[in-house]
Order: sequence, then structure tokens, then C-alpha cells
Amino acid sequence: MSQPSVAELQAIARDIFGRDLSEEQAERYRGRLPVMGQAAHVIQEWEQTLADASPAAVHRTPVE
Amino acid sequence: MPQPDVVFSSIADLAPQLAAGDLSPVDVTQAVLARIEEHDGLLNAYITVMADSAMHAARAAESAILAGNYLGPLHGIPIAVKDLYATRGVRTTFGSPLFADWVPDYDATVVERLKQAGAVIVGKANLHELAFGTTSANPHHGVVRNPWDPQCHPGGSSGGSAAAVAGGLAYGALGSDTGASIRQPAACCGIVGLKPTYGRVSKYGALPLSWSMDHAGPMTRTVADAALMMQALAGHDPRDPGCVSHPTPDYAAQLHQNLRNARIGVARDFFFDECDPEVSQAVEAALEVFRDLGAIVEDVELPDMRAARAAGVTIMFSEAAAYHADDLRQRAEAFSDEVRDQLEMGRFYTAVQYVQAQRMRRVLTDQTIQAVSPYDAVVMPTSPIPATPITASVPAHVSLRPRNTLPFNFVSLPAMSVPCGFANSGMPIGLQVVGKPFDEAGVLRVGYAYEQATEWHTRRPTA
Repeated sequence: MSQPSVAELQAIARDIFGRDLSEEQAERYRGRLPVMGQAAHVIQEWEQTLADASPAAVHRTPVE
Repeated sequence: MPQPDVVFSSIADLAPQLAAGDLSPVDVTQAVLARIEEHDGLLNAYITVMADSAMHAARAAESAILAGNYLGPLHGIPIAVKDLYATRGVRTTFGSPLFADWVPDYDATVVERLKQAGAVIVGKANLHELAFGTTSANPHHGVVRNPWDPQCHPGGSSGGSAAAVAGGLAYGALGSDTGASIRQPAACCGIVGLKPTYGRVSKYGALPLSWSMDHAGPMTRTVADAALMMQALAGHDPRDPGCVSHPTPDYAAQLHQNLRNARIGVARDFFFDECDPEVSQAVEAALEVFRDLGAIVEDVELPDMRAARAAGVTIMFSEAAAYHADDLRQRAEAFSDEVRDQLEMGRFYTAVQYVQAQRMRRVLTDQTIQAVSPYDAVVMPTSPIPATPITASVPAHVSLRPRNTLPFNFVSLPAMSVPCGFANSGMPIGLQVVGKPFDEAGVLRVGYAYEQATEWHTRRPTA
């Protein structure tokens, strides 16, 4: 499996997350950043299908 | 019984002997503590060994049983607790220097329930720092080693729990699972690990990693033992706002139903991608076992699991970054580079992405439940790869290790890893068995039938 270059990692951070990473930061984030970038892409692709979807419940009114 | 025999007994085999007074909880606990003394220098499965309190609890169990007050199958059984759960009067570190000296004045609900069932808590198991990782290479409390090959990691984050159970250093253990952390270490160490349905088991007293993805559950050497632990752990707890009131079935009573004409779905798309060929072969062989048991095995199309993974990762990282935001600001030096980097990356996601991920969760959960509902269980590899050497860090593995497990944290369904073979390296391989919401009994039944038809669970590691 080919690994992204540091420049590619920096592009993911900049283009998808609006973050400017140093070369050292990009290298540190190598293990996770590509998957995070893919995740953000997938979420964007899904947005057009979510018109009727409420979020999953993360809050509940206490009953006692 | 000689020490290796007694420490590798199952809970189900040991319990009747303890109940009848043929075996003493004191002798059993002493045997486990001796094994810890002998092997934990290498495995490093424990952060804290509770020898004195364990022996006190064992003597109390012995007296109670002799007096006719037997509490049930966990009475007098030595159990390990992942050091992610608060234990009254016992240091609870969460695998981090942030909590190096914290001694809680309360027990987590799951610990409380184990004690009520008569279990003997033998120690606090090592883990990946703050449960945020899948190797249990803890820089503060030392690397946990896999009993099948000490050069390899045991998986994580419940790596200490898995190594303790696999190595005969406990009969069962509490684990926690946000994306993989019960099932992947169970697969790596050749044991059983059950992540229940979200809300089935209380998380009160556990350190959160990601509130909406975290689950508590048992890790054991056999499926029957997982059923016995689940019986003690399951049930509503008002102190956990995510815990639901849902009837708890008799898990052990349902284990023995056969699988004739049971429907087993095989989820191939996504879950077999990039799998080590030995993992794929082991799972294919498991499908043959199900056929031989009379089950109907057919491919099933689950909804978009790439999307489930993507949204699950977004939620997990965002919630983890939120939970640790203050400590990261105030005490960044107390985090390892790895965990600090991950928490910093969690801040990359926007609020809109988090909300969209929770909207996807609603859709994908409904779709997955619909797809799974015709089946007694749906199966796939637990982890695409077996455990690898601790020193061989492959960046792509960081995301690959939890890939097949995380979608079921996202959609909240029960999922269990059962041993299904060994790679040529000698490292175990796990089969993941997924069920309908709150149907842990069905998952256990399918896993039990498979386990009883194979001999993987009878093998013992050498370390």
C-alpha cells in the first residue's frame, strides 16, 4: 500500500480541514489523517441524502 | 488440580466445584495470584495487582459458600478490571499520568455488580493510554505483551484484560469498547470479547472516550463464561443516562439451542477488503462449520459501512477531543505524543461535520437493523489482521485494526469476537458475530455453537 507524501498530507489538512500543518506535524498525523480526510469526504457526499434525517439522540430529558 | 489446569479452567467448569465446596475460592485465587507473580513481569497485563484485597474477598467467599450462601457462578471467581473503571479504595489510573494518584471513593457500576455477584477482583488491567488506541503500548505503565508471542502486541485498548485472560492471569475481565477495544484484543489474544448493545450495560464510573460510542462488556476464555459475566453486568442503571431499562434474559439458558435452519449472514463487502489472506481463510472455514451445524449461510448486503466508519470516526474523535479539551490545554505534557496528536486531530472536525455524522447515524442504524433482522447473526472477520510485532509500526494498521469493529459501535448493535483459527505466525484470528439490538442472547448462542464445534478455545499460549 503506497503512503501519501508529506505534501499530500498537508494538502488534506489544508483543503479539507482548513489547517496549515508543518512538515513535522504532517508526519506525526500520518497514521490518521488520510482516513480523517476520507471521512470528511464521505460526510460531504452524504449531505444531499440527509434532508429528512434528524440526528441520533445524544440528549434525553431526565424523568426523575 | 495442578496450577496450570486450575487457572485455565472455565468459569462454567469451576463454578459447580466452588458451589459444592470441592474447591476453595482461596485456593483458586492463590493459584491466579501465583500465576500473576510468575508471568506478569513479562506480560505486564496489570497496572495494580490487588493481592491482599483479593485474598480477603476469597476468604469471605469461602466462608459464605460454606455457610450455604452461594451467590451464583461468579462467586469466588478471580476477575480482572480494566483500569478504566473506578474501584473504591484502589488507585484508578485510566492508563494516564493525569490520574496517577487517583483513588476513587466509589465503584463503577460494573465493578459493583461483579462484587455483588461474589467475584474476586484480582487487579486493575493495563490498557492503551486513556483507551485511545489499539496496541496497549502504554508509555506510562509499560507495553502489554501478547501471551501467544510476547514480541507481539495484544491489541487494545483492553490489551491488559485480554492478555490476563488469555494467559491464565484471570478467569474473565472487564473491557470497554469505543471502536474495537473489547473485540480486537479478544481476537488478537484468542479469547471471547462481547460488546453489548449500547445501553445494555452501565458505563457509570468508566472514563469516557466518546460518550455515544463507548460500551462496557466482558472478556473471557469461553462463550459460556461471557454469558455468565453478562448476566451479572446487564441491567438498567439510572446513574448512566445512556443505560436503558430492558428485560435481561437468562443468557446461559439459551446457549444450547442448536443452529439447525438458523440463518447466518456473511457481510463480505467492506469487511473482507484488505484482509490478511489467512484471516479470510479462517473465516471462510468458519462458514463451513456453520453449514455443518445445519445453518443456512448466505451473503448479506449491509448498508454503506464505509459511511458508518467515516461518521463513526468523526464522532469518536470529536467527542474525545471535547472530553479531554481542558486537560489538553492545561496539561498537554501529561499525554503521550500519540494520544495528544489524536486529540489535536479531533479538533479538526467542524461542528457541522459532527452533526452530519449523527444524522448519518440515525439513517445507517435504521438501515443496518433492517438488514440484520432476518438473520440469527451476521458474521465477518473481527480484525483484518492478526497481532503484529510491537516494534513493527505500520501507519496504515492504525486505521485498519478497528475498521471492522467500529461500525457496530456507531450503529450500537451487539457484536462478539470468537476465536476462529491461527495464522502461520502463531497469532490468533477472531470471527465477529453481530446480532439484532439487545439480542446478546442470540449472539452468544451462535458463538457458542461455533465454539463447541471447534477446538480453538482449548489451545493455550506458551508465555
